[in-house]
Amino acid sequence: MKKRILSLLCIAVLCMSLMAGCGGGTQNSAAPESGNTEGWVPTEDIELTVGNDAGGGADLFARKMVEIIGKYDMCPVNITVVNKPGSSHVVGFTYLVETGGDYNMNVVSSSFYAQPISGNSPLTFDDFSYVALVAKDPSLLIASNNSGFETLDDIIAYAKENPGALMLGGSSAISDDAILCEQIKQQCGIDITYVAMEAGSDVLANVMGGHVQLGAMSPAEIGDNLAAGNLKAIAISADDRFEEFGLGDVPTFKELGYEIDHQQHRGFVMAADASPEAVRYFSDLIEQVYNTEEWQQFMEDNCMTGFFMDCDEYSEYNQELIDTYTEFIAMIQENQ
Amino acid sequence: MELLHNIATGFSVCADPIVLLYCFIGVVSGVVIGALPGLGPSTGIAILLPLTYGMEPVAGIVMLAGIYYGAMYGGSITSILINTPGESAAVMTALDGYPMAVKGRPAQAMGMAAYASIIGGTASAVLFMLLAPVIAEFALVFSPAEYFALMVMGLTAISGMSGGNAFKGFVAAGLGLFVSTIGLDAIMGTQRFVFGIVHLYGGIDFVPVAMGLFGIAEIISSSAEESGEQIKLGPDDLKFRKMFPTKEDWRWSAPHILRGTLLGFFVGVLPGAGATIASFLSYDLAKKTSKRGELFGTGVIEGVAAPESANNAASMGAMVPMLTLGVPGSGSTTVMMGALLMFGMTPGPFLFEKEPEFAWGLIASLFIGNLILLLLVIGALPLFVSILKVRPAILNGVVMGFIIFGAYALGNDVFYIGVAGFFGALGFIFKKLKIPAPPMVLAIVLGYITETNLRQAMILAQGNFIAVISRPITAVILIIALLLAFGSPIKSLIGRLMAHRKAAA
Repeated sequence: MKKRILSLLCIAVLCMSLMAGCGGGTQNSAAPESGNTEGWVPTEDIELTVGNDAGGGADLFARKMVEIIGKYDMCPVNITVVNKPGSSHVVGFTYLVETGGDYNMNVVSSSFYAQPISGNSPLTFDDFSYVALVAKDPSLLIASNNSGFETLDDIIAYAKENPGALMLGGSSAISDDAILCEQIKQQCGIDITYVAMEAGSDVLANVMGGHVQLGAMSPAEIGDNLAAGNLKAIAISADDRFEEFGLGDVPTFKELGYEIDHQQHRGFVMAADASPEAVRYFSDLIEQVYNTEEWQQFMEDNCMTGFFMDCDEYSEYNQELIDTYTEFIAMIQENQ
Repeated sequence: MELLHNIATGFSVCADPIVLLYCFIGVVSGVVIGALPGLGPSTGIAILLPLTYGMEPVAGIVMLAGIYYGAMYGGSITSILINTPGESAAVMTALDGYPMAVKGRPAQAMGMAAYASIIGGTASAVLFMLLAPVIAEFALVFSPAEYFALMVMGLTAISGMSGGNAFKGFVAAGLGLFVSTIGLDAIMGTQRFVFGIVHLYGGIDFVPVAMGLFGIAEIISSSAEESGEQIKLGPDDLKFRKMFPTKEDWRWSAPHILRGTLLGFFVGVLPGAGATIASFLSYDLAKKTSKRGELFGTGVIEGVAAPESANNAASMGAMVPMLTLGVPGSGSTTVMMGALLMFGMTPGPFLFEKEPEFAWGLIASLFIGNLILLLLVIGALPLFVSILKVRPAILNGVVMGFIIFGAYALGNDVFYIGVAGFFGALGFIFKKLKIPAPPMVLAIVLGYITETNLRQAMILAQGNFIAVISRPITAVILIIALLLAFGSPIKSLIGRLMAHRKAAA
């Protein structure tokens, strides 16, 4: 009897103390409201939240930025990258908005727009302050070897002769890949069935295995498979061609005469209650990082196009992005 | 000849003391991470990933790989000793491992778990070395239709885990299938049973569920029991001799280790199916092909050997598509691939040509790592078994602490602790009602994949179900699944018909 009570008591005490420790939450004291608008400098460590797991796209993006900042000593305080994965970045953004303040940032990717617009996020765009846009991430259209497609014209011809037979795999039901599919349907006047898959690697595996004729994915995820001849690259939705991963011969949609230019925008946001001085500080900091050679190299290695907008420009441009996503997501949801 | 040259290059890379050091660190950390019921290999690799920044790529990847297959063994330690699987690929090991420990044979169970893991791992490393380029093609052959069939085959394993009462097994599995539907639907993005809770949009991951159902439930129920039997260890039990399974044990286990290794390796190679699924399938296959299949669950040694060899083999297999195609073979290899990209290595068909030292160094480290594991086990097994000497009151408290830490570490959020706690309470109820918990975890792991792949296959076949199931590989796997599910009733039916005939004649 005594042993039983003792054991239960030990467990209870340990549990309670651990819960208290874990559940305390980060107490971010509000940054002192500086009276002067110039010269805001961070006095506390900064938390950069990322909504996916270590090793994911946004995570590597964030860590690279922090690495460059650290290398050139651009910031007087530490910036820590914290992963808060869950629900396609929604958990991470919810955490950002709840903690708020001048010392919390998050990374923007297409999920930032796609989730609220498709009704899968409790947050609105007014909950955020827009810090900077840094890069555009294009989508690559690939085709399996057994489909026999070599160019976009082949695909259009096939689709017109065989309505309903053309399939395109992409990651997630509502994503940049789905939007690319919609754009191709619209602009080329053909019918394509979109097959939602888990992630870029699943799209890659299914296209290389010949189970789906077309796929949409981020060019950086291709690895060496194009050079090895495991698949064909048809076109890319960027403004200019890329040289990496053997994509030098792949035309852009614009070259082929189509306005298929949807790209994922990558940048940074803070919560709406961040002071304008802090936002301006980070916007300038990120611009400094953007201009370094390391960052330009990083973007090149990952087939991203540099596209810098500071906090004011981004706040204005944001509505354009919202409108684009709203338009396309409505089309996607209509087709379902 | 070229192969020998390549592997020699690999071993020469590994001869670097830094690489060996990191291999050792990786394997030891992996065993510890695997043993702790809160941490699993993917969490462990994700947490230790930042340590590899700025490291030599070979040293870094060797360490991460060491964590991976070390954890596959480590999970069995707590599975066997305290019925609390250290990670999800060790859930099956507890089914026969813990009863063996209760019967007074913890050391043999742990020894067999270790040797099965090492044999499975080494044999798969050989397969990896010989077959990597060919296997890469095999990895791509499975379309959603084939995955659907494989998962259906996996679901037939429920019958093997029900411990005699099939109805209760189905109840658990049914609940598990329900839990697997929670979240955003994969094909259309519709919200299912989310109730506006942000964390549920992504569904409920099976890791905290397993921690709760097995870990927390076990601790609460064993603390609440009157008897509170502690497994008694005599002074003999820690002698070196006793660590070795007997000849008879080997005779029973050998064919299952062989089958488990092959099954585990090929399942691991398939992108998206990893060590956990491999261990389920292997346990089920062992139960259905063993001469004493009915005794599974009471403490038979092959019930430990089969899943353990399979999960180590699967961890090796999962690295094949990661390196040769850039397609991760399992959850943990997804994180490892992030590390590869960070090192500036492009995974894919040319990795072996462009960076032979890196690739072959990794393969050579697999052999060295398994050797380190063997030495570690021989040296430390008595230490592991002595865990049983700790008073349950204290041991349970510490384990519970690790579970809570581990649940939090999954996503830096207390939500996961809540999930583990909820399923812990559910698991306690299950124990009182004698409902088996493994079918629920199996259903959660497989349910989502089964549904998603079926729907994708139907879309690709434009709605033609017959076309889906008449694909050659799909049909073969489905027939095997039918045989596994209905084999024994059909056999006994035929047996009775024959007996009737004889009686009538």
